[in-house]
Amino acid sequence: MVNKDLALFVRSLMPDTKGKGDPDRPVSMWNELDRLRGFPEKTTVVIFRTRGCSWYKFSSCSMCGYFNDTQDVTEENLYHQIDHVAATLNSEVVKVFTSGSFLDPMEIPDQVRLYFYDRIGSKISKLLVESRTEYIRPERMEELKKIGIPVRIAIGLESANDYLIENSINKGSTFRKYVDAANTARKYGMEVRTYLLFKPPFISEKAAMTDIIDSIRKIRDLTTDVSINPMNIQKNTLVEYLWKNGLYRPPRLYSLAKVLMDGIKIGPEVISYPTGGNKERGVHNDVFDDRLLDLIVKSSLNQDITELELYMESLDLSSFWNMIEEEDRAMVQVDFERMIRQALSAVPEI
Amino acid sequence: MIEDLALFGYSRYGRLDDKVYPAIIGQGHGINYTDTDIEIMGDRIPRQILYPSKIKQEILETDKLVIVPNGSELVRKPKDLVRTIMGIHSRYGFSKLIFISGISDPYSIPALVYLGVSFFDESLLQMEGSMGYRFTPFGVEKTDHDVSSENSMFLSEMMRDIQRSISNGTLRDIIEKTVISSKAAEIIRIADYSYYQDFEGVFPARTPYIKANTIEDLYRPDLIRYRNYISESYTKPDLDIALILPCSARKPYSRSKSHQKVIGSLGDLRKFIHEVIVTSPIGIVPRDLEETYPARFYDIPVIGLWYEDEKVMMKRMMRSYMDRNRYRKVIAFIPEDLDFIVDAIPYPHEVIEFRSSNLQRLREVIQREVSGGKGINQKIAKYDSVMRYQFGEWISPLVSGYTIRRNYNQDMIVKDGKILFVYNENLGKFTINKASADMFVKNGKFLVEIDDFKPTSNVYAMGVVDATEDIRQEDEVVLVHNGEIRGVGIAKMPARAMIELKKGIAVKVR
Repeated sequence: MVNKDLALFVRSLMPDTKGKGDPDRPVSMWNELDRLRGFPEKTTVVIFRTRGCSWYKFSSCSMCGYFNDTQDVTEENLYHQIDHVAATLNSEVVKVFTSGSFLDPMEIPDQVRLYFYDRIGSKISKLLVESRTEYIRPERMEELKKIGIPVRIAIGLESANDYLIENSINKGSTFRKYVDAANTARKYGMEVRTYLLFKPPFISEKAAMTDIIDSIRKIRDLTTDVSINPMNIQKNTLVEYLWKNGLYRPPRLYSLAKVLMDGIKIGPEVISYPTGGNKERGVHNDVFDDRLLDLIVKSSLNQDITELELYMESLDLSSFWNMIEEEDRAMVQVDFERMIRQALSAVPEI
Repeated sequence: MIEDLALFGYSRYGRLDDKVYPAIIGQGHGINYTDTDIEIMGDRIPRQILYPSKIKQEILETDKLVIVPNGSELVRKPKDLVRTIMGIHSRYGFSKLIFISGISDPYSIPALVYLGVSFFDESLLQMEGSMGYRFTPFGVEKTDHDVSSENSMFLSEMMRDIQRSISNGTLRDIIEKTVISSKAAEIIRIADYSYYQDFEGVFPARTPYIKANTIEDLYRPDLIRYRNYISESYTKPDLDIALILPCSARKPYSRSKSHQKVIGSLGDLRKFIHEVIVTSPIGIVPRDLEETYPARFYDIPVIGLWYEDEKVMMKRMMRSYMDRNRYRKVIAFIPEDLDFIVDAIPYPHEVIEFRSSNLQRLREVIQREVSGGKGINQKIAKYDSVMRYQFGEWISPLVSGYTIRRNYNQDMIVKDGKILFVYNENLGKFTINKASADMFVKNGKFLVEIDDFKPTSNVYAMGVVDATEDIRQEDEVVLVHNGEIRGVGIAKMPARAMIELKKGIAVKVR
C-alpha cells in the first residue's frame, strides 16, 4: 500500500517548521462559481486553518503542499475561525476545505464540527466537505444528515489505479477504501464528489489521460460528479522537486480538454476548474491559451462541450499528439523540452 | 543470441538477432511499444513507474539486456552516469548488452559506446527532429521545420562509423576526435581519470595507430599502461651513461633524419651509452623499446611548445624512471623547449643544445665520459627489453644465454637449438613458438584454457574454459587443455570476455 522509498523521499522534502498566519482566521475564503445544485451559481469556499492531514505524520501525497498552511491551532482558534466565517458568509452554498479532512476528529474535534453545523448549517442550503476515506463513517454521516440540507462529500481518489496510488501519488489509500467510503456516504443519502488527479508524477501525459478515463469508468456509478484536477505544483512537494529538476512537466491544456470532453461523454457530471491554469506551475500549453482555459471552465459549469469541441476541432494538433506519443515511449518521464534544451546546450550551435 | 564480431575495450560490435550493434533502436526496428509492455530486442518488460536517480537508480534486466532507463537524467551528471555503467560492467561483465534510454545529445553517443553501451532508443532524438534541431558534424542547427529524416541519416551514418571503428580498433581515436559535446568530453575524462584500472583491464594491448591530436590522448589507457611500465618496472641495459634525445616525426625514431645524424656522428660510441627519447604523450622511450607499441605507432602535432600537463607528465615520469635506473652521467642533447626535463635528472648531467653544429661537441663529451667503460650488444639489449616488456620479468632467466638467428629476414631467439620466439619487426613484438609455449604454461602466463579439441584457425569464446587475467586483446597467447599445449595465437578479446561470452572469436590461431 505504501512504497517506502517514495514515502521517505516525500517526507524528506517536507519542512519542519509550521506555517504562519492568524490562527483565528481561516487560511483563505473566497467566492467562485460551481454547480453543486445542478446549475452554475456563486459558491463560497473556505479553507480552515488546522493541524493538517493525519497522513502528514508519516508522509504526504506527492502533489500536496497543504502542510505549508498548517499550525498547532487550538479548539478555541477553530471556534474563532467559524465565527469569522459565519459573520462574513454571503452565499447559500459553501465548500469547506481544510489542509486535511474536515471529518477527521483529530483535525476538527467533534464539538467544533457540531458548532460549525450549528452556526453555518442554518445559514446555507448546500454544503460540501472534504475527507479522506477513513473518516467517512456512519457516526459522521449521522451528524451531517442532522444538518437537514443536502451535503456532498468530496473524496480525493486521485486515481482508481492502486499501482499509481502507491508508486506515484503516495496517497496511503486504495481503490477498495474509496468504494467502501462512497457506499457508506450514499447509504446515508450523501452526494459524492470524486477528485481525480490529472498527470501524477512519473507517468506520461498519454498514460495520465488513459488513467483519468479508466478511473471515470470505474467510479461513474459511485459518485455524483467527478472533478479533474490537473497538477499544480505546490511548494515543498515531490512534484515541485521533480519540476525544479526538469523531471516533471505539468499537463497541457489540450490534453485536459480532451479528457474533459471524453469524460463528460462517458461519466456522470465531470468538471475541471484548474488551479494555476496557464501558469508555469499549472496546466498550460507551450504557448498559453486563455481561450481554451475559459472554455474548459465554461464547459464544466454548463456541462456542455459544444463550444469546446468546435474550438479543438479548429486546431491542427497532429504534431502535438505525435509529441505525446513520442513522450510515452520514454522509459523515464521528464520535462522533455527542458531536458532537450539543456542537453543540447552542451553542443556548439551552427 | 548475442554474437560479438569485434570488441574494443568495453565496446562491442556485433549482432543480436538481425540487429547490428551498437545501434539506435525505435518503434518497428528493435522496439515494440504497447500499452502494457515495451518489447526491446525481443525481450518484454512491463510498463512501470521508473524513478529518477535521486529517489532510486533503476536498472532493469532482461534475458539479453541490462537497461538504464533514465539516460536523459543521467547524461546531465556524467559522474553518476559513468558510475552506473561501470557498476553494470562489474556486476554483469560481458554477459549482457547495455541499453540506455532517453539520450537526447547525439554527440554523447560515441563516448557512451566507449563506456560500453550497445543500444540507444530514438524517442528523444525523434522529438528533437520534429522540434527542428538539425544534427550536423559540427553541432546543432535550430531550424523552423521538421528535420527528423535528415537526422536519421546523420545518426545511421554515425552508428555505422562507430561500428567500423570498433572492428578496426580505432574507436578511441574516433571518440577523442569527435568531442562536439562537453558532456561527451566529461564522460571520457571521468572514464580516464576515475576508472583507469577497469579500462586498462580490457583495453587492447595495441591499436593500429595513435593520432595524438588532443590532450585527451595523454590519458589513453594504453599510454598510461606504457608509462606505468617505464616508471615502475622497466630496467635499463647494463650501461651507466644516458643520452637524452628529442623525439622525431618518423618512427622508429632511429630512422629519422635527425636521429640518423646523431647515430652517424656517434658511430661505435653508441654501444657504451643508453639512448633515451623524451616525448609526449608517451613520455620516455628507451631506444631499446622504440620499435614496440606505442612508441612506434603515434603521431603528435609539433609546434615546439608543450602543454603544462605534458611537461608535468614527462618530468614526473623521468624522475621515477631515473630513481629506478641509476646513471653515472646523463647527457641531454635536446632543443630548448625540452630544457625543463633537466630538473628531473638526479645525476650529474650536461645539456647540449640539439643542433647539427653541436654534434661534434656531443661526440667529444661522450668520448670523454665513456673512456674505459664496457659496451653492450645493442641488438641483444633490444630483444631483452622487448621480451620483458611484452611478457614480463619472469621470461629473462628462462631465455638467458640465447642467440639470435636470422632467417627469411626475421630475427629468431634460439636456445639449445630450439626457436623460442620470432621477432616481428614491423609490429615490434615477438610471436610465441611451440618451443617456448611450455614456459608460459609453467609460469601461468598468457594462457587460454580450452575444451578438448584441436584448434585450427579460430578459437571461439564458446570453447574457452578459462584465461589468465594478464590477457588483453592483441596479446600473444598459448592455448592449453589440461596442461597440454594445443596451439598459439593472438587474443581477440580481453580475458574476462573470452571466459564469459558464448559467441565470437576469442583467439586467432597461428
